[in-house]
Parts: sequence; C-alpha cells; structure tokens
Amino acid sequence: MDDLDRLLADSMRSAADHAPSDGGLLSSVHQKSRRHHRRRVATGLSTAAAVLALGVPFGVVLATRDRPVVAPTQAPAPAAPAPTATSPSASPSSSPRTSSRPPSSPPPPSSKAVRLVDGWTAPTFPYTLPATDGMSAPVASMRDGNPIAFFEATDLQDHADITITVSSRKPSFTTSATESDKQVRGHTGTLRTVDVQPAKQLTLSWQESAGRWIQLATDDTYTPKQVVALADSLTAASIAVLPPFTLDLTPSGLAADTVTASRMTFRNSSGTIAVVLRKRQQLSNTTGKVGKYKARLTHDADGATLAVDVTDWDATLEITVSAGLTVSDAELTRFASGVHILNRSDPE
Amino acid sequence: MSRPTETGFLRDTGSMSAGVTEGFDDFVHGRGRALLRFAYVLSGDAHLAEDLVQEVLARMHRRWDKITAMHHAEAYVRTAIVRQYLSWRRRRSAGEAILAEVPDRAGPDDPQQRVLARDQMWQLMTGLPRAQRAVLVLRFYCDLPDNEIAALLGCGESTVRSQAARALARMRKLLGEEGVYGDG
Repeated sequence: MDDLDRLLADSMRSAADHAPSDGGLLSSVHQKSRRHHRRRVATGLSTAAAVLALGVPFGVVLATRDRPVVAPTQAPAPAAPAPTATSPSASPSSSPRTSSRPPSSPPPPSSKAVRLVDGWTAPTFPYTLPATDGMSAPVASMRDGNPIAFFEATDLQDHADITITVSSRKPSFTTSATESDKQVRGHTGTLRTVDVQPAKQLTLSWQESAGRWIQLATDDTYTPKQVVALADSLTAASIAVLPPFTLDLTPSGLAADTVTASRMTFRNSSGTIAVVLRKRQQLSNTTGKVGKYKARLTHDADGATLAVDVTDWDATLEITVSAGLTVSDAELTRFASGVHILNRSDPE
Repeated sequence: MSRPTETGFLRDTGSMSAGVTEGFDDFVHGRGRALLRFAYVLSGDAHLAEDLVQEVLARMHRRWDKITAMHHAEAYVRTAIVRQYLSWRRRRSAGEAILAEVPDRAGPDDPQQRVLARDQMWQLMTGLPRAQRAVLVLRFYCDLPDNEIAALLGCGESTVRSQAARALARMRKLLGEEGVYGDG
C-alpha cells in the first residue's frame, strides 16, 4: 500500500464519522417495509378483483396437461418430508368409516365414479418475462383453471411485483377504473388504472389468441408505456405450477383446477375433488385413522369429506369429494394416504 | 468465532456473527450504524446513504429468516447496498459531479496538512464514476481482495483492477497537480 492508498483509506475512515445517525433507522425500515408489503398486497388484490368468467374453466389447463413438461419426479422432492413420516398411510382396514352413512351405501344415481390412477403431472404456465436484475424467477400457481405466474420484485426502486394470468375467457372486473386502449403484441388491449393508495394498480389485458386471454397486473412503479413493453416482451415458456403436496394418486378424468400453497382442486363437469391443508382444527368424533393420524369421514348432501389430523404439521388435511362424484371410502382413504405434504405448503 | 469487522465483510469462513443469529431488529440496532457508515463512504451523501440502507433493509425485512439462514448475512446486506447504489438511476444527482477544480491545497508546513489532504481526497472521490468509487471503497474501506470485489460486483478481476487503476491514476494526477501528493 503506497502513500496514496493509505491516504485514501484514512480519508474514507475519517469521512465515515460523518455518516448519518442510526437513530430512527429501525422505525424507518419498518415503515418502508410495511409500505412495500401494502403495495404487494394491493397488487395481489387487484389480480383477485378480476373476476374471470366461468364456463370453460380449464381450457388452458387442458391444452397444457396433454403436453406435460415437468415429470412428477421434478417436484421438489428434497423439500418433501419422508412420506412415511408425513403422509397419512392407509390400509383398507384403517379406512375411517363414515359417520353419516354406511360405507356400502350406493351412490346417488347421477354420481360419476372416480377412478384413481398413479402419479400427477404439474400443469404449466405458458409464458415468461425476460430475466432481469431486480426481479425474481416466476412462481406459477393456478386458480379456477387459470394458470398464474408471479414475478416478485427484489429491487423495489425500479421494479414492482408482476402477476400474469392466462384465462380462456375475457376477464371482467368489479372495481371502477380508468381505461385506455393499448396496442399489445399486435392486438388491441385495455389498460385499467385503479387509483388506490399506496400505489395505483395497472392491469393490462388482451386477447392473445382464440380462447386465450392474458392479463398483466402491476403497479405504478411502471409507466403505462413500460407495462405495454413488459407485455410485449412475453415469450413462450413452460413454468411448472408448484404444488403444496405430491400425490401418489390422481383422480382420472379430472383436470387440475386450483393449485396454491394450501390447496389442490380437481374438476370435471360432474364435480370437484379438493385437497386442502388448513390450520389445525380440533377433530372431534373421529371415525378411524389414515396411517397413524386420526381421521373423520363424513357424508352429507354436498358430498364426502375426509379430515385428517396431521399433528406433526400442526394442520388438518381435508379432502372433499363433491356430490356429483363418487369415490368409495376405501379409495378416498387410499387417495389421502398418497398425499405428501411439502415444506412449501402453507395452511390456510 | 469470527466477528463482523467495522466494514462488515467477514473475511474468514467461521461461524456467523451474533448479529446475524439474532432477530432483524437486533441486527439493525447492532449493525445499523456500521451499515450507514459504509453506505455513506460508498455514496458520499448522507441522505442517499440513509435511503440506501433503509431500502435494502426494508426489502430484506420480510425474508430475514432466509437471509439469516445463510452464512455472512451482513456481507449479504452490504452487497445489496453496493448493488442498490450502482443501480439507483434516479439519484444521479448525488455524488457524480465532475470536479473541475481540486480544493485549495494545504500549505506544506501546515500541521493540519494530513487532515486537509484527507478532506481533499474525500472531495475528489465525489467526482469518480460510481463503479470506480465502489471499487475503491471495497478495496480500501472494506479491505476486500480483488477477487472478492469482482464476485460482489459481478465482473472480472481484470475489470476491478482497471477500474481501480483508472481511479487512482486520476486522483494521483489531480493531487499531484496541487502538490498535495505526488512529489515523492
């Protein structure tokens, strides 16, 4: 180190004494953190406010599930706890009996019997944004048959969270907003601006092709021109939806409809099968066991519900079969025993 | 057990500092001042330093458990501060004025010469491009070797060396012209 180097080092250390005080730093950080969080919540709400028309709820899913990109083994197995320790393993003898009708009760005439098949392939989100400093890689999920990708901003000065939803119908909205037409990817799109605090919500939607609509939701960190540029930069991709569980068995003929951190729902025209991880609820009047866990199987006019007290996750796993579908009690228990809860799950 | 240095970049591979293992609030209480000093040396602007530290910490607040799960969480925070500083385009007004003149030099017999020379050096730093300034701060304030600076900035070691060489040559020239430094 020569004299200049030493002088430079001395200069910096001396100057550091003039740095601002840390008094009030923590409260300022908390305040800023809350503001960031509110922005994120607001962005999420604006997405949720888009009420997507029903009718053909999983057209996109059906289009992608026939072209599986991610094999079941690509589910994050390392994050999954050992199945024997965390999944309700069942045997026919341990099948919880129904509390409201005998297991042998015949299904209603209109019910459709569901067959369970091995494995499950994650649906995919079909687009991505270019990788950018300050933005995380996308995380895909699915709600009501619509695949969703969430791009989290890590640099909140220049970027904002972006949520992109693909649907088979034109999105409709319930909140009032200022709307303007924009040219997006060769189509006429609509940019909605909802004037809310702490940040205006911008949602750009357009019809990408026949039977496919896309909406891109973010906030006013981006200008309208930048929002259009983001939409224009979308490219084809296959981002696997991240499930909260791995499944040994899947209901055949039912398409994945909702996949979030707490639930997986399968649907066909006759009904739904929902697997939901809830915060632990007191499970009274248990009717049997699924593996080592106490369980309660009930039937009512809405269908069958198997609730499993997953004590080591401090959660209740609830599997519901709607009235339009029929799964025998033994099969329902077998299905439950193949649900392996992953670390990424988040009980609701 | 390794401890955070004044400049926060742990140089060994020992266990995490106490500040890392404690909660977020404890970390801010314990290391906030050092982070502000670092950000101030880096940016040369008190308000910008506060903004940098607040922004980076706020961004990390809700994922603090993940950050503390890593070794050298404080180094991670400081890296984020450097990157934020380099990418913060909206604040170009701070610290990027090109100095046309070197401040008046101190007289050679002035007992305060060294102190004044330090002040002059500090003012000269404000005229450096951000990347060059960051390299100098990481090298001389944080005592990081060039390979670690390169990894932190996401560039090659040769880039670090050339940035440092350019910055030092410029400062040497300006100070030499004024007689503060350079005659031997």
